[in-house]
This record gives sequence, structure tokens and C-alpha cells, in this order.
Amino acid sequence: MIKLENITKKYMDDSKDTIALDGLSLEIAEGEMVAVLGTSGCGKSTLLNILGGMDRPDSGKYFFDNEEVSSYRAIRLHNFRKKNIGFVYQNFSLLNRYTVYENMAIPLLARNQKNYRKKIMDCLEQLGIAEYANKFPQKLSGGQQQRCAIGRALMTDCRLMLCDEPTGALDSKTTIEIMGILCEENKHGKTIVIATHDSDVASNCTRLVKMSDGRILI
Amino acid sequence: MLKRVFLFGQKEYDSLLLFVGMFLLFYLGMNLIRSQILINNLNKPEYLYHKEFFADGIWNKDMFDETFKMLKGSGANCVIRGFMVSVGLTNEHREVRTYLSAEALAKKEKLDYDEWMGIPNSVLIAGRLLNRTYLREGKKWIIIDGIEFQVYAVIESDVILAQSVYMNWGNLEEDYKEWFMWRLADEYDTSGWNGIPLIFEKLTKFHDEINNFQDQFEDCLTTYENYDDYEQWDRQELYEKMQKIYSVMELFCIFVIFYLMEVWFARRKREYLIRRMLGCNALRLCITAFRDAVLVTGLAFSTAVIVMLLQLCFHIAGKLEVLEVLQTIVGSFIITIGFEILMLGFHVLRLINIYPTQANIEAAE
Repeated sequence: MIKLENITKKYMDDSKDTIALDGLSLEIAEGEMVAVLGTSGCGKSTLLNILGGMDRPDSGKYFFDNEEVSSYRAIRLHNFRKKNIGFVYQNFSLLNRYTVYENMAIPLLARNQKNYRKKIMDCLEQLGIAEYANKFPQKLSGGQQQRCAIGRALMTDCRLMLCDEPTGALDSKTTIEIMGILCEENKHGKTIVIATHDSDVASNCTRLVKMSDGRILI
Repeated sequence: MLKRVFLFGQKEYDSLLLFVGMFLLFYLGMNLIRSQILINNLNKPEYLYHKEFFADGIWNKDMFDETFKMLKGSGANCVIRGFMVSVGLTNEHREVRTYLSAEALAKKEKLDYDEWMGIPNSVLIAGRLLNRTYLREGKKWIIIDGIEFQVYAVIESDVILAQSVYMNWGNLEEDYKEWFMWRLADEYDTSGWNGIPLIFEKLTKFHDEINNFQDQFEDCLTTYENYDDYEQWDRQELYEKMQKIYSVMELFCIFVIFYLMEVWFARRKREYLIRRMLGCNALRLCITAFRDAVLVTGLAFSTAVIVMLLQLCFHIAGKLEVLEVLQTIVGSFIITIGFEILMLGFHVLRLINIYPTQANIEAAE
């Protein structure tokens, strides 16, 4: 499903080049649940940004379903992201001025979908936060917010879910709950890539990729 | 929708502040335009005409009638007049004002000095002539540059010790006229007379138009019979001051709104990034941002219109002049909406190039 070939990415910091990804090659099959483990600054987030079409590699090739995504222009890249990718971030990235229900509806509205009420309510039910549908995110606990964020990612019917430190802001009990949800989604066939520095989180995944200084160790 | 835009209950006041700023922008803009309309109303040609002749109390109807009578009876192609005046002061003299106001009435607009100079219908020579006049055959004459003119009338000017003279004119060939005028000017300059000769040409006979002017003059007199001119001048001064204050405040508002727009968009940047991450395209994002800002603007404009209408009702005791109100509101709308679109455009277009990486979202928080 995913093939990265010799991906390099540099950032300019204070007129100094920082190498985020250094000739990284990786393959991920459909249905895998991959944990990208590494310390802060090792390039995990950059990898996820490239996988999600948020960023472009400086060199190397990124194939998704045998199509070279790294050569896509902006609009095509946007459409690729819209069609295939779901994002879950550590900070939940929920919109505070919208209710949980409305947050879930945003990706569907962006795709011009209508009659989505049942779909959202079913998802909220599945995630165990249906009773908070009309509440604003800041009224919910961290775990509930992350469930909402996962639900929102699921709304897009994405094939690849990218989770950047999804449990970074949560306690251990909630972390287990969230990982349970992600594992469940993986069992339903969703490909998931989780960037984390928490080995406990990584242990829930079917495959472990260790990174250091922009390279894959194992 | 309002709740979403204004973030009620979420302790974020940028939309509210933007609303207040926009309201002030519109309201002050309306008042700015309104004060200009008021000043324009005060300066209607009919009023200026009245103001020029009667408001200072020097000139009265009898004097005016007498002047008209003299001019009508002159039988001249044009009028040469003499004052102790300079070019710059010429339009302060009532004879010139007669022309100015009459022309203004005819054109239904105020004339300034340059426009007066452009009127191809008069000849005026300014200078003190009296000591050079002489009597012959019971009429008063003067010789200028070897040409004898009949002095038609002498009237007292409002300039102390100065006197004015009207003279017949009509015995010069067309091609000689210009040369004569300049020759005349030189003579006056070197003769020790006070004032600079001024020459205005008048191709049609002035007295042909006198009856028409007189009718208009009568109308003005009736219209402004009970007018308190000093109040009128005070009002004009007040409106002009108001206009200056409004202008400064309007300018201040523009800066404040620009800053508030920055805050407004900065506050929403995170939302736009997240929306982008969730699949919104740039166009939809711009439309969302524009819609929210236009909603705030629309509300501010509506509120300003209501407040302005209340103010107008209060000021003119319900006698709303529809045209004035429309001018005020539509004028303000066009100017401020134009400005707003420019400002919004500047901010909204920045949304096209935002990338919803986690780092960017966190940075926007």
C-alpha cells in the first residue's frame, strides 16, 4: 500500500540545515498497524506529514497504491489527503466553538456529504461518547476529546489513519482505552501508523519501526 | 450562526471587538458623509447669493435694485469698474459677487474665483479712478490711453476711502481690445493708483440677463427672509469641525480594525488549519472566513444604519429627507464596504497557503 524510497527531508533552522529524514525507506502493507517509535526530534512527525501529504520530501519517492504521491501538485495532493488520510493529533485538534457532533460533521461537509446524522451518531455510539454529542469539546475529558478526534478521522472513511502521539496528553488508563479503539479499527481493516515515544503504546501495534536521526533503525 | 461567529460564552471577544470597530467605522463614515451633505446644503447657490448681499448688512434690496437699474440702463457692451482692490481681493467685492452669484444661480452651483475668471462675459477694470474723471456735456468722462470713456456711475464701495466707477465701453475694435487692456493695466500700475487693473471679458450684454437675475434674486430674498445667518455660519463651522473630528476618528478606526482583523484571523488560524486537515479546500476555507467576517460587517452596518436613522430622527424631528438619508447610507456603504473588501481580501487570501501540520496547528493555538 505504502512505499517510501530513500526519502530525505531537510529544514532550515537559523540558517542551518536540520535533517529530519535521511534517506528513509519503508513499506507498509494494507491493514498493518505500525508504531513509529523514537525520541523527540527523530523525524516521526515529519514522516507522518509526508505520509499524509502535508509535506513533500526533498528527494526520494513516496508511492501510495503504486502511484507516486511525491510528484503530485498541490490540488491533487489535497484530494489524495481528503480521500485516503485520517489524522489524529496529540492535542486533539478539535474546534472549540463547535459541539462534538458538529466537529464530527466538518469532514463530511468538506466532502459535500448529506444526511450524515446517523453515521455520526453510530460512530459516537461506537466510541462511547454519544451522550456528549451536543457538548463543546472543552467540557470533555482528554480521553473523550481524543475519542471525538478519532471519530472525526473515521468519518472520512480513510484508508490510512495517521496518529501523531495520540495518547501523549492522556493518562495511562485512557491511553489503554484509546489504543483499544485504534486496535479495533485496525481489525476492521484500517491501516494505522502511530508516531509515539511510548513503548507501551507501540506494543499494541502489529509492527514496530524504530527511528533515530531521521533513519530507521529496525 | 451568531453564536459561532461571536463565540458567545467562550470568553473570546475578538469578534465582538471587530463588530464594535466596524460599527464605529460605518457610523463615523455616515456622520462624515452627513456633515458634508449638511455643509453642501448650507452652501446652496441660493443661500450664497443671499449671504453675499444681505447677511453682512451692508447691502440691502434698494441698493441692489439701484445697481441693477444702473447696469440695465448703461447700454454698454460690458462694464468697466474701478475699485481699490487687488486680484486676490476682487471676489470680496459685491459687484463681483453679483456676477459670481448670478452665474452660480444660473449654473446651480457655487463658483470659485477661477471659474469666475473663466466666464467669458464681462470686463472689469479695477482701480481708483475718481480723481481722473471730468465733466463734459453734463456727463462724467475719463480718458484712458487716449480713449475717452463715459463714466456711467460711481458707487461707494465697502472698502474704506475707496470708490467704484462704472464706465461705458463699446468703442473698441475687437483686435484692439486685448492690447488696450494690457496697456491700461500698465498705466494703472505706473500711475500710483492703488490696486491692480483686472480685466474680465464679457461677450454678451450683461443687462440682457439682469431681469432674469433680478427674479432669482427676489426668490432668494423670499426664501431666506427669516434666516438667521449667524446661526447658519456657526452651523457651518460646527459641521466643518465635526467633519475633521470624524475624519480623524475614522482613520483611527481603520487602523484599529486592521489590527483587530489580524487578531481575528490569528484566532481562527487554528480552525482553518484543522478544517484544511479535514479536507476543506482553499476556496471553501476562504468562503467560510469571508462569510463570518461579512456577517460581522453586515451586523455592524445594520446597527450603524439604525443608530444613524435614530440620530437623524432626533436631530431633525422626524422630518427625514429621503434623498439625504439615502446619500448618507449608500455613500457610507460603498466607501466602507470597498475598504472592507480590500482588507478582508488581504487577510482571507493568506488562507490559501496554510499547511495543516501538527506543528502549525500547535503554533496557532
